[in-house]
Amino acid sequence: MPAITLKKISTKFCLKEIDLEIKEGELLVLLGPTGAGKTTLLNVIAGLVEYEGEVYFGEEKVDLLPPEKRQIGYVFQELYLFPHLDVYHNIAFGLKARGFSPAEIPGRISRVMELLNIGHLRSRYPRNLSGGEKQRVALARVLAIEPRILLLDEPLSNLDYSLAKLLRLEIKELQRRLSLTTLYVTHNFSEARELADRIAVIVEGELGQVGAPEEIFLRPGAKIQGFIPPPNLLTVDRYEAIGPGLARAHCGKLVLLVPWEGGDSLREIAIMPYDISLSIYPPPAPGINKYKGRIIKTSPGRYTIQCQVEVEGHLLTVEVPCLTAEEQRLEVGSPVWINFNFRKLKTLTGVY
Amino acid sequence: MGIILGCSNLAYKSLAPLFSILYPIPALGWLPLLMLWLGLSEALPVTLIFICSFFPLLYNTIAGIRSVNPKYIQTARVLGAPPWLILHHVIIPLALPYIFTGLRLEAGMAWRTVVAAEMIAIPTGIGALLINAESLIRVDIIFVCLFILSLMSFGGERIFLWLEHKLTGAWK
Repeated sequence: MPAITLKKISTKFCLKEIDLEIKEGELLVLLGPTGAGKTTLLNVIAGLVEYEGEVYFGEEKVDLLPPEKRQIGYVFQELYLFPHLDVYHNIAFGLKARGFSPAEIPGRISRVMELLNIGHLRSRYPRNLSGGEKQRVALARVLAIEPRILLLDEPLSNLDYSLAKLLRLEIKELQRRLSLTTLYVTHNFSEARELADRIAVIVEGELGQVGAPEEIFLRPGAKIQGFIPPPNLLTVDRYEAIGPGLARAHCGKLVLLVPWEGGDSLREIAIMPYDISLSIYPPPAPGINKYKGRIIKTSPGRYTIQCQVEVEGHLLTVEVPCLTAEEQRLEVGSPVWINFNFRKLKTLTGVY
Repeated sequence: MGIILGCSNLAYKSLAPLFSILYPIPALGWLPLLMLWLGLSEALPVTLIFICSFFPLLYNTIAGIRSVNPKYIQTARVLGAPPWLILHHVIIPLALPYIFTGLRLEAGMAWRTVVAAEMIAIPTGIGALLINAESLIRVDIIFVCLFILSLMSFGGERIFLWLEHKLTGAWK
């Protein structure tokens, strides 16, 4: 029995007949460009917007239930911690609202504060909290009420890279520990890949594709290729480990240094078009993962140009900003140097 | 009244036209009518203060209620709060800064209106004393009256400032 079932969900301006099932205890990431309808879908599940279609939590149809009765936890993108309440009372608010007894509330708050390591922030007001602290308090506030479903709307988008990475790991760990059915909205594909059990890609209000992260990454459907371009795939003929976390992979005439932790056989290497650097100028030494090629075809876009580049017998797609292409006068036939970004090379071991 | 009109579109649309007609009448314009209805009793200056303060406070309260970000109300709903809890624990506290602005603005204006009424019609109070002192050319009494008036206005405003700080200072 799925934890959440959405049947033919449509909204006035945004969503178009979305059918989706979310499993119990799953972390499903809703991925898509800005304006795709990801947040609107969360709002439908929360009961905050009018919609057509049906929403089920397990076997229970919840369309007629107001938001306060749906027992969900929702962390909005801007968090909306109550500015007039300190951290303790922000967390207590939901518990009081749901009728927990006054004797029970302090214990619940203490437990969730300990879980998120925010006990020292008890008496502080939101205006005196850092970005990461606010994020933790917002999470504590929803976890305290023990929701049956957790909705997170781009909760880390306002944080710097390193803090967002740390909190991402914490969220993943918490979600696993609590086995909480979670929907997480993001427009960042790397974040989605890191977090998701499954990814649902929404484009222009429609559900484009649902699947495991690797499936989305390696086989993006036609509907979502405008948002998630297919990667370049190189078949590995042979490879050898050359050090801890490092391997040399032979893909025809291409020899690449790749990150490799060992384990199953290395079959393919994938790299996204925007993770390959392209230039008419020779790159600085050393010459690792750098090759000379020739542009075979160009496809201009609004902000970037897709270049088909022939390199050592392989045809690769490389994405170049329009400004760079203009400055370097890239055109069909131009000899170019390409550089495979080592950290972005994805080693694949099986069939997906 | 401000809370009701701020929260309910129906109440606002029903009553706002009435208040729009009454608001432009200066408080002193009500004096002849109040003197007929209430006589020269203690009720007269009190009623005058009420009329003078009512409309600015009403509109500030409405503005305060409506200034509360709807997302806070949505957040409270999703956390499970019923409407009365949202009103009591979210909307009214967040509207307090606006309400106190109205109170502080009107504290001084109310005193000035009463003194003006005492100068022209009510035979007791600081205003009446001012007029008497003027007719007796007692400049010393005039200055004392002005000083007391200033002190009262200042004191009234400071009381509201203190109260505002007590209720909202920690988080505003």
